[in-house]
Amino acid sequence: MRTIRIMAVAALAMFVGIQFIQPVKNRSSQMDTANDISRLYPIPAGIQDILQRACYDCHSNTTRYPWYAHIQPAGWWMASHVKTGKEALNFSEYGRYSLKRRRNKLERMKEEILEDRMPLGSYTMIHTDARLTAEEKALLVNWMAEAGEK
Amino acid sequence: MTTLLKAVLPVLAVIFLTACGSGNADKSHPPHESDSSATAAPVAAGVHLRDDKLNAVYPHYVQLTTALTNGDMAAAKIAASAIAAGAGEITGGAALGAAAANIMAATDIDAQRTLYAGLSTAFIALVKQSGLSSGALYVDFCPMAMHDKGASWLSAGKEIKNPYFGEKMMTCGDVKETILPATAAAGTGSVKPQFTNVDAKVAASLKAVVAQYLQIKNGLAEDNSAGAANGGKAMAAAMEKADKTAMTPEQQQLYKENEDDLKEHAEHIGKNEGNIEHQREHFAQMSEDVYALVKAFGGGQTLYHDYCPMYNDNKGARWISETEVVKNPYFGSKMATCGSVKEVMQ
Repeated sequence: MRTIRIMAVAALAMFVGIQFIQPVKNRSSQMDTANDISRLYPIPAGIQDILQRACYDCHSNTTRYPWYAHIQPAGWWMASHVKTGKEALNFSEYGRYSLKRRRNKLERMKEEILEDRMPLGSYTMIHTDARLTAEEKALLVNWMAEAGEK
Repeated sequence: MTTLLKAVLPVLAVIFLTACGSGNADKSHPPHESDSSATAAPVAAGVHLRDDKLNAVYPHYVQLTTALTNGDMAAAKIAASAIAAGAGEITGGAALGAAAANIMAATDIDAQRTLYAGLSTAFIALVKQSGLSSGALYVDFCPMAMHDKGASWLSAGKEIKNPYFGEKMMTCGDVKETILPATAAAGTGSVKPQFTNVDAKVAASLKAVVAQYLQIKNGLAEDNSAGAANGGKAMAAAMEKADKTAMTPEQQQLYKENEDDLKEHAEHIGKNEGNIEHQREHFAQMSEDVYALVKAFGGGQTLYHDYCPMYNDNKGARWISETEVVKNPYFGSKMATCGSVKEVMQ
């Protein structure tokens, strides 16, 4: 009985303890938009809205954090997701890519969306507003095709 | 045109008869040059296929084509029997042999012509696989053959002599493709590197990158995802070591245009072992980068620029190969020979 109590207290202490280890939040200052994709291609408001809702949490320098992201270890898990996402594609740093890479990325974005590989199912399960309707998918793909020709 | 044809026909007939002197087919049936629509096969001098066994069958294919053009069913059977006999010797010649055997068994010329379409497809594929060492061959296509489905055949001359309709529609069709020896193709499609002043260190770095590219390519062609992944990882590592300092500013600029894209593809192919279709998507874009680099800097060896029109919903994709024989990395064993050499890169 005594050992169980000790273990419970230890677990609680550890849970409280890890709350102090907060990963750095992915939030850029508003000014830092020099390399943003919107500087390279015209993005209609409707498209911008879809991108922000469905893509930017993992693929830009600005993540909208849900409440549970402030509780560890959920926050750590999310931070690693954002890190991988930004490595593969970062709309806020799009201007840093070579011309060729920009075009190729647009091409692959289209494929990811058409084949329902993105947005990730594990993400849209919780972030229901990131789910894309067929119409939104068509809008995105058309815009990407146009941008890719520039 | 007709007068020219009439003037040329006897000449061609003579060439044909002498060239195929050993073929008993020609002696066993009466010639019919009295009929102005009858045509003789132009066995163009100097057509030689690299594959000796296929080369031995080629004259019989010409005989068969001529027989069908002339509407001569008996001659077609004789030529088909010679093809059937020779096809057994050819690697991958099963379809050709089977089609030839069916032509032997066919009871009318229309059936023979229908079977000839399949035989020609098989034969053209074998010819492309083998390649020519000299001469030129033309892939002709008549859209009306096979009840408007269209069908192809191979000819040694550019002039159309339709084997599917014979005199009814002698000139239906056009040349769709020219098959030339790789060395002759080099005359029209051979490229030398754009930069003539590539530093030895730079050339060595890029040769290492190309070597890993070829490993990825061969992995994909063999449906070996792990092999491709290893090539991807090794390519990313080779790029880390690439010597950029010895490049001229112009060379640096071209290299940088491709560097981040290529590296991303290399890393991605490295990480996606087990997902070969995704590796192939990246390989298609990677090939564009490697093509640009080899075109500018050279590849340190003779390389072939291949193209498969079917990949990516018939949008097509290219790749670079170290062998003249086409081995498709986009479809692997499903369609190993799809594609053709577009350029020889020295």
